[in-house]
Amino acid sequence: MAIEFKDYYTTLGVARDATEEDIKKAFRKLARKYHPDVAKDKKGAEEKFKEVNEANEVLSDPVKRKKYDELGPNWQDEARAQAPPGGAGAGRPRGPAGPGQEFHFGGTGFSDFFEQFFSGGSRYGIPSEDGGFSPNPSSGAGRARRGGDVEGDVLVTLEEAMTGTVRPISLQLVNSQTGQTETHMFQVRIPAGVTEGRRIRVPGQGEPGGGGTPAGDLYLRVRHAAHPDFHARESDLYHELEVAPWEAVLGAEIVVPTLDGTVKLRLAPGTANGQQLRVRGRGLPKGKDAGRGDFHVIVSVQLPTKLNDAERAQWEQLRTISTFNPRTAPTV
Amino acid sequence: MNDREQPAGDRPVFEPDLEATYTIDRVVEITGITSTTILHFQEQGLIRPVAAGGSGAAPGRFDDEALRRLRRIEHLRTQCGIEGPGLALLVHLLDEVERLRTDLRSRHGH
Repeated sequence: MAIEFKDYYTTLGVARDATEEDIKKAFRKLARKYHPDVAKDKKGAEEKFKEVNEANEVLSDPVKRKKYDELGPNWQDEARAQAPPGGAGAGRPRGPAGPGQEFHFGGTGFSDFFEQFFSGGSRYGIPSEDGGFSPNPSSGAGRARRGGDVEGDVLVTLEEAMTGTVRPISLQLVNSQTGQTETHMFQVRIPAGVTEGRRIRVPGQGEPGGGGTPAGDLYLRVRHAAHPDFHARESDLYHELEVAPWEAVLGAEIVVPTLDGTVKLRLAPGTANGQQLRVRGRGLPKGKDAGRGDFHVIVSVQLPTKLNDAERAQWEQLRTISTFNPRTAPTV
Repeated sequence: MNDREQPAGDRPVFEPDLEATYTIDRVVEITGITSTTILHFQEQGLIRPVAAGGSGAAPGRFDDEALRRLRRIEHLRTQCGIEGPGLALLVHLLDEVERLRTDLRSRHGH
């Protein structure tokens, strides 16, 4: 299987020495541009949105970024070098899953390249490169063993988490009994309200069992795609609301976007920077009949950076007449 | 990607129930682990039944996460030869690693 190298720096349009802040800004800008709710070309935008998310997934994580940076032009050789020592014919056939990988997922929302280096399947959440976790054919010899469980990540947008969705998934693995590569294709309903890190168990879609024993299970771990406007913690959603100084000081009515529609918020006079406002029941659904999480707005007061003459005059006047002193005199 | 080779609509759809809980007898069936062993792991604090009262679950029932933990423990025992105090230590360390990774991830704006 030909795997295409992904240049994540180009995807985000940042330099290779970009700071974390540069990456965050570039991601937000592109994620907003290609967000399927906003873009006109829905299909094309969805692909771009996923690509941007994947690039952010790697470059915003220092460990993954370091690993990515170490992949040189000979990345395919390096991939092969990552292959765990199998020993002479020691029961780990190198399937088309790719060098060093026992499982290959499709339909997870990540590219083949990402699956190869940064996600991929694992047994019980432990990547095989961390050592010794491949089944040892000599242990329990002669005893039919139930198939092992397989785990993989699935990228879910917050919109999908809100409404639920159905994902076509393919899983390619090597049947350790027959040595044959098998591809399992099925669809999995991602239920509404899935939270970050939640595992979805798909019975019987793990490794095939031997000698009539049952197959293992597949666990898909939910990874929320980063959203330009919201992030989720459990079932609660958080939105950073940028406001002008006078809105915070004098109070304001602001229409705020949520994942489903908008809410009108009344900012009280004297709202502090960083203050949180809560809208009950506008977060993610919480499963059967358990209502929804809350929507939290975090106030972020923004200061103007460019002033015209009239504005400057007003600020100067304010400086003259204001009794406000942010620094209390030190008591010596 | 493989998922384009066959129209997705033709494939079977799994409808997971995230709130499913199982009696210990059912857990024995699903995992192939004996009830004595399961109760032993429970006493060691390696698995926990679903809290009674929460979402109407009866006491002594286990959820999908408990199934995964059990199967992982079995994998560590049978495939990696880890037993006794070392097993508990390793399970707790794996939990800690996962917790820290999740924490790190949320710090990077996910």
